[in-house]
Amino acid sequence: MLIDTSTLSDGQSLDADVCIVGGGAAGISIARALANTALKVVLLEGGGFAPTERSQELYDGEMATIYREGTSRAGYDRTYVGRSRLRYFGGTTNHWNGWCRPLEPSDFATRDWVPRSGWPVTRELMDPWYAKARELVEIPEFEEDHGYGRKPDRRQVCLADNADIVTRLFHWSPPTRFGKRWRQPVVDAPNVRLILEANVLRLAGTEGRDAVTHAEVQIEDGPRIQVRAKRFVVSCGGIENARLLLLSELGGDNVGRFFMEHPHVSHVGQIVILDQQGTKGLTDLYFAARKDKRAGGRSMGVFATSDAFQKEHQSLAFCLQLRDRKKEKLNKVGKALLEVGPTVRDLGTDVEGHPKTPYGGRLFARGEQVPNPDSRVTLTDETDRLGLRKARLAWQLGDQDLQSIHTSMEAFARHFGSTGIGRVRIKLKSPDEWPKTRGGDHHLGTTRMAADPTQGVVDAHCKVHGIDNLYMAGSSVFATSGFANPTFTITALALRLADHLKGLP
Amino acid sequence: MSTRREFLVASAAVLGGVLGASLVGCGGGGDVTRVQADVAALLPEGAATVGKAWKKLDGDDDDPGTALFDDLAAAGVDVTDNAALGAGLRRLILDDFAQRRTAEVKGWVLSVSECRLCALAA
Ligand SMILES: Cc1cc2nc3c(=O)[nH]c(=O)nc-3n(C[C@H](O)[C@H](O)[C@H](O)COP(=O)(O)OP(=O)(O)OC[C@H]3O[C@@H](n4cnc5c(N)ncnc54)[C@H](O)[C@@H]3O)c2cc1C
Repeated sequence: MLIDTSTLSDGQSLDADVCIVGGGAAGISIARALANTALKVVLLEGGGFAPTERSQELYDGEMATIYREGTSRAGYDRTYVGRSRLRYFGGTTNHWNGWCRPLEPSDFATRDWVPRSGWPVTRELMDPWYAKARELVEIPEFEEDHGYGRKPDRRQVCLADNADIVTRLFHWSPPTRFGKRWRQPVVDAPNVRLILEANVLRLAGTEGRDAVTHAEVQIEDGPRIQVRAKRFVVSCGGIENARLLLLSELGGDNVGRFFMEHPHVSHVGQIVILDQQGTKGLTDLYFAARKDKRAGGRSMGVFATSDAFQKEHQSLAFCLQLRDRKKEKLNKVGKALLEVGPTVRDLGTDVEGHPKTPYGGRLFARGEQVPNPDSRVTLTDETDRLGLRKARLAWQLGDQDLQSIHTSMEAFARHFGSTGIGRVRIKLKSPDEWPKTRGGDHHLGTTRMAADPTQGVVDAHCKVHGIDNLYMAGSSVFATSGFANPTFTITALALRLADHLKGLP
Repeated sequence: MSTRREFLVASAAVLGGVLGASLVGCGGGGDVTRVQADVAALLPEGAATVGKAWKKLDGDDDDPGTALFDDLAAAGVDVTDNAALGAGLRRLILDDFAQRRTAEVKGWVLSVSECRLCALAA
């Protein structure tokens, strides 16, 4: 039920079994899963049902991007902290794009060449919740990968996977706007009290800081209240989760550390596509998929480096997409390749099989970064209008992250060459200079999951180490990031947490 | 060999489109130097651009043509046989990528053998 905040008074205390802070993808997933159960739930959402500047400005903060240790460079986008998330019911899903894919089994595993890799949960363990999460993000079942073209209405992908490169599928959520799509089940549930414009200022702990006693809440233009609960779930997004724990002085020294993004290099390279087979495969994977999306289709493929390749070359998760075609501006050698290509392509073959003119396209890369304790969210001395210190994000990228982009791109170039699909131009500078890199508005790792409390903030059940009744939900718990966008995994983890909470006494 | 199409299909032949057809006219005989010259003359214009850019790189061969044809010979390719020459070059180029014999020419990752082939025209 939706609580009318005018009925609340200063100093009033509400009681609940579970208090959820933040009504975005994670918070709504949990509230919906707990709806119509015996648990008394309070869902506190800082914004309303619609966006307002007053709420959004509470997200303002500082940003620095550090491309190499020791060389601080002002952020690529100083507004990132404020702009990369939305502060109203439904959270950032109010404008997400809807790309969904689970993390790979290898993303959960310990990889000895990736410091601090390895989750205390496996993909196999997560699979039942991934299956349930499909309903929330409204996507079909994941079929076999490298099978984009398996459906009879779609052309076959002709690019065979090999030992180094594999094809992986994403599904597109419509995209589900959680705040609209799942509002009613939450509002209708008699056991869920939804309080809008309820800004949580701080979580108060017991003296020994081993449990949270209550949340202090400032209702917008209204009273200050408290919510006391048996258990608290913080689901305010990857930056705000850390900020709230830092403001509350809870969770220990790892809070805010290990911030990760998916480094996106949108001009990582170009491709001259020579082979008809490759042309079909590549275009199906992106352009036909886009057409498909407009026609209600739901999937798209990317190329990724295989687990075996990553292990052999000590590289990180990485995927590549083909973007523009035909319009792509090529350099002199690129243009020459358009002429030479068909000759080389047709050597010793039946020319009749290659009716297509070669063309150039742009390659777009998305990678993983190594969890790094110095890449972190801290608090500034400046405060917002509620008197709370703002977030400062120092997103730090390291040498291994850059090296991995180079290694992976070289593998793609060889793969496209050795399969005869085309020729790749790698548009990276020297191995120690970062290309123009941005994030995907994915805020990961700031309350990371680790079995060992010295290596993270939460345990395998998303419970904060050392605090009996405090849980974190969202991508802040990611131990590593893979290449897949996070929300599908956020939702699966949230559903798993809800099941865990339901089972507690 | 009656028609170009028959030639290409039947022999799974030569150097593709124009090049393949023209080599038919060469008669397929002659010494390696002549074959190199024939190949060079038949490469499309862009080959010279690629070849020149590659030649500017450190570490290119002094005599790319010889290096290329040595590799073909080492692979047991009879370069005086058009069909074998086309297929041999193709194999060499694909293998280069698989075996990391590549060069970065103005950012483009190319097979060393295709660079040598283009250098014949440069
Ligand atoms: C442009 C864009 C495109 C994206 N596209 C994709 C995509 O294609 N695929 C994908 O997987 N992900 C995508 N994302 C990321 C995705 O939106 C997030 O991963 C997801 O929304 C995170 O869910 P969350 O519940 O953790 O946080 P949010 O959805 O951000 O929700 C947090 C909620 O907490 C509330 N809140 C914050 N502080 C307080 C407080 N102190 N008190 C009370 N309430 C509070 C906020 O108002 C908000 O409702 C995209 C993001 C952006 C910006």
